Amino acid sequence: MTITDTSLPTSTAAVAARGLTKHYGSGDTRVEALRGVDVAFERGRFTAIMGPSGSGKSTLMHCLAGLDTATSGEILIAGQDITRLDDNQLTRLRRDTIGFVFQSFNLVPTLTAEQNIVLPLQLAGRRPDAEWLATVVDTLGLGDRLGHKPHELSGGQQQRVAVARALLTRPEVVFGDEPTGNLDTRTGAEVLTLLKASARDMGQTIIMVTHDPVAAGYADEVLLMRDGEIVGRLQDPTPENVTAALAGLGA
Amino acid sequence: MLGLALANLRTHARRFIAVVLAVMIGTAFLSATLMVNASTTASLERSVGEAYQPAGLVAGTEPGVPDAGQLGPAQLDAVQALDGVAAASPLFRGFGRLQAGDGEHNAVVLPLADDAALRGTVLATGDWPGDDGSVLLDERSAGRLGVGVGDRLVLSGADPDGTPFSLDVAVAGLSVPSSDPFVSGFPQLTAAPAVAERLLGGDTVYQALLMRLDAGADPVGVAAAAAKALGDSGIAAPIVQTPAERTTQDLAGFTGGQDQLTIVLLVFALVALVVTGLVVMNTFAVLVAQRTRELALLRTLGAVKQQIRRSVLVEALLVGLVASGLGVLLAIGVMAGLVAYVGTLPEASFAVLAVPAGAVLAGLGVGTLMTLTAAWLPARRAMRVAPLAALRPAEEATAGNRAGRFRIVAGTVLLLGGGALLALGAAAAQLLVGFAGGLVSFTGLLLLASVFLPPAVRLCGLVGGRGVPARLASLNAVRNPARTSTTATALLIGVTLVAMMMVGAQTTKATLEAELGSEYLVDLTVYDSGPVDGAAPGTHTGYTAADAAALEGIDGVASAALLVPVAHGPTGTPVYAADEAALAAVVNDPAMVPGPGEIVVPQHVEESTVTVEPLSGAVSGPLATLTTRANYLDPLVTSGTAAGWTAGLGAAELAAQGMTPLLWLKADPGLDAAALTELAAAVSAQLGVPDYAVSGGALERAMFTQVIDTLLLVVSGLLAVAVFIALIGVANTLSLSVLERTRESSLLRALGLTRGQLRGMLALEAVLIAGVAAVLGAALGAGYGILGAQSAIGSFASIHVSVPWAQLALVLAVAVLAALAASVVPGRRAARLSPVEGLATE
Repeated sequence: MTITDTSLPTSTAAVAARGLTKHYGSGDTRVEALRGVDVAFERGRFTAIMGPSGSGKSTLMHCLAGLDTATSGEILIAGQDITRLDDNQLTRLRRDTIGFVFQSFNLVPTLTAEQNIVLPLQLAGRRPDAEWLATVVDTLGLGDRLGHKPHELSGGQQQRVAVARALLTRPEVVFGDEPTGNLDTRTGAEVLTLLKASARDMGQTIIMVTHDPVAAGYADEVLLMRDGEIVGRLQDPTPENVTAALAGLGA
Repeated sequence: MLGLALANLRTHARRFIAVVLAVMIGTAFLSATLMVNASTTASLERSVGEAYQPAGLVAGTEPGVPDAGQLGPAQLDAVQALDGVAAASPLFRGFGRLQAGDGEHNAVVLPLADDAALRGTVLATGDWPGDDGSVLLDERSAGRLGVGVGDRLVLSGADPDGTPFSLDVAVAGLSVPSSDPFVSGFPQLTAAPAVAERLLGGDTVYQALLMRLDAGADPVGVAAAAAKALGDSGIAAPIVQTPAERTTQDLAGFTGGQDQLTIVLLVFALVALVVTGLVVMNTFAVLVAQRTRELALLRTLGAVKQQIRRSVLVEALLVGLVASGLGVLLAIGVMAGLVAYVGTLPEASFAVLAVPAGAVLAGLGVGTLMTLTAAWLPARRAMRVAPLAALRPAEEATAGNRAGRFRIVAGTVLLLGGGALLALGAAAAQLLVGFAGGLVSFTGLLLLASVFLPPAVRLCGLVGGRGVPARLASLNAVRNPARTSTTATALLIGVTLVAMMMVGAQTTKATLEAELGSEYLVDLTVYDSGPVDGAAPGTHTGYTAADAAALEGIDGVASAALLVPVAHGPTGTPVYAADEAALAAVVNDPAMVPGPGEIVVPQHVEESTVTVEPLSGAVSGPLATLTTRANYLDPLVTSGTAAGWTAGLGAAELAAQGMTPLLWLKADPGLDAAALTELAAAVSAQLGVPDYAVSGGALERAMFTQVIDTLLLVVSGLLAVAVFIALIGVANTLSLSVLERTRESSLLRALGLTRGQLRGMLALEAVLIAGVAAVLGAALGAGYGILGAQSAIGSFASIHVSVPWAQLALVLAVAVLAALAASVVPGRRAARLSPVEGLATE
């Protein structure tokens, strides 16, 4: 187990942040969720962000994904500083260059699985690449589920549809917010394997926030956070060394 | 559970705004209706009773008894002579013409009681009239006519033999205007009884005798004695009452019509309440659905089913009470404003506001009960929430639409049965049958609404647009078919009724116009009024072509034609001839312009040909008849047909035979009754003939049109309340759905839906629901309106279907724009939320 220096060159990264801070409230109730985070995520890597509750890992992810606005600092996605974008530009950025897999409530209940998968492309007014769609659907084993509505799918199937949706736009980066939080161990493993494979085989950049050392074990790298700061980095993690590292943080 | 209900109301107060508004308006409508009745009665009581107030007893004749007898001077003397009666005075109203200010006015002349205590008139300034040559005038008329104390007036009337008379009288003083509804619209003069009696214009008949009793006299005894004395003096059914009793008796004559107005208004209030009920039901259904997990948690924690239901019903009870309380207050406010306004009109200065306990209690009771009833079904659904639901993730599936089989069967039966009945009513022109059929079939349609409304919305959604927001909007619009149905049904009811009234009125108008166009060939006819006073005998020859040309110069006259007498018709009536082109320009029904060899005849002529006797003595061949629907019409031919019929006869010779020409006029289209009356006056002034020489169908038609338009305006205004409530319902459903879909909206935002697209999506959803309801309502209303018009007037006219497209388009536009407006607030709220907040919301 090694805890390495966190500073990395940011120019070639898919996603990078410099001096990122985020405050909530003011005065006595002021909460500093992020205290000057510098981080870079290389292309084609699967990174897990871990830390105790309140460590700022979800806030970091929300800011990086343009879902939330940072108080200060800059965020680069594909070299573009997204902190300067207005809401419509941010929306288009999310639509075109970012994929999401949430813990729950990932799918629009009125649309079928297929409609959900192609939703971001349609919002952008683009046609899905039929070949790529077939590949993604095949890879995720959703071929016979495309016409179903979300409530007709199991939890694992719903998450696989969400992964397919995230991958279909070939985004710069896919963000996962506890993507296996609501799944049983076996289904969770299935989804994580898919994510890992898409990073390895498709060169997809993936950033995932999780509580679960087992889930983190699928990543190429683990970022450890505490009190709004990145306090460590773990290469080639395993459930065991992640657990140990977390225990070290909590101490 | 009260604590829980209160906590819910406090926490989610905003979710109840719309439902409170809806219940408030519905309740206010009901209460105000009841107050209209009470206020009218109170106003009449005050005003009708005014004249009786000074009296101790009022003598009259029993109402409704034939040959009850008439009160006159003999009866006045009889009661005056009675023991216990200090003084007696007759009550009656004389009518005369008053010359004052800039012209002549109808005036009412009241007798001044000799006994000062029996005088109903109140002196404002000046003195009481001292003799037959002086009068009182009411202050208001004095101000209007520019008359002051000391001025002289000319009062004219006619004696029983028809001889006109004029009285030159001085204004001794001014009186406080009376609020008696029979009097308050006129200038009111108070004069010595002899003067007033002369203006009765015939027999001296009194309405009532007022009696002042001696101090200490027994009213009951005197009343009995008076009744006996009246009986002895020839009154078959005398009745002696206290002023209060007499007022009540007089009022009974008024309230028959008043009750009908109340019933009609109550029907509209009922429509508004039904629509309100739908809005309430929807609101509570949504609130319960949103609270499923919370309710399940309560169940898990040990709440029994009945407690859950009670908590929902307690909420409904509180909402109902508060909202209907506000509604009653609103009604009182509106009525107070109306009465204050009406009180400023001279002919209704007696108006007073009455707020009967009944109106308040009925408003509170019906409003609360209606809210409770509407919340009953949602409360039952709340009761069925399983404890486990708390532990499961919120169910995001679209709700199924299970219209009960009973509902479908009942709806179909009612629709088909009612439709058949309606068709029967229309075919047989039976209004009551048609009305029942319409009511039954519409009820059936409403029961089936959940079957046809969602598919209709879905279908329109397909047309709505191809983009993702458009597709999502149409999916969302039907994701909860029950909710969509209820929302749309509320609007459907209102729009259908409004459209029905519009189409019905328009069709009735078109039909009557066609009918009158055929019945009255021309707008206005100017008859010959005979020689002008002082003209030398034999010089009167009647109207000329120059007169017709002069009339065409009057503003409002489209064209004029001169009709010259040319022959004696089969029944001896004159036959007229006119230039064919001129006739075509004035006759309303183009089919009724005679051609060569044709003659236009009135309705009763059945022969297909007739022969006439030309005045010149020439012989005419048989003429083909063109039968009009007019009852009274002198036969008419063209000048060409009548060539040579008056050969050798000049206008003077014709006039000597009593054969003088007529003028026919066509008025500019679209003139209302007032404009036509003015036009008739201008025509008579131009020709120098009396007003009565000008008559015709245009006036009658204008009156019909005006009555129908006024009725339509009133009815549409009343129904607009229901439409307004339904639109509140659309806004309510949408905003509650938006709250429910917070997470979904946030997900869509995270995935790339812009704020504008989100707002557009919600706007489209609202427009879809409201638009479909409005279009269906307009179509249904048009059908009902046409069939209704056929049922109502089909027995005496063949229906001319006429659809007021502009009005219907206006209704649609209002519905769609209101729906757009309704989506603004929910749309802003949904778009304001950042995706992170929304996704975090549980």
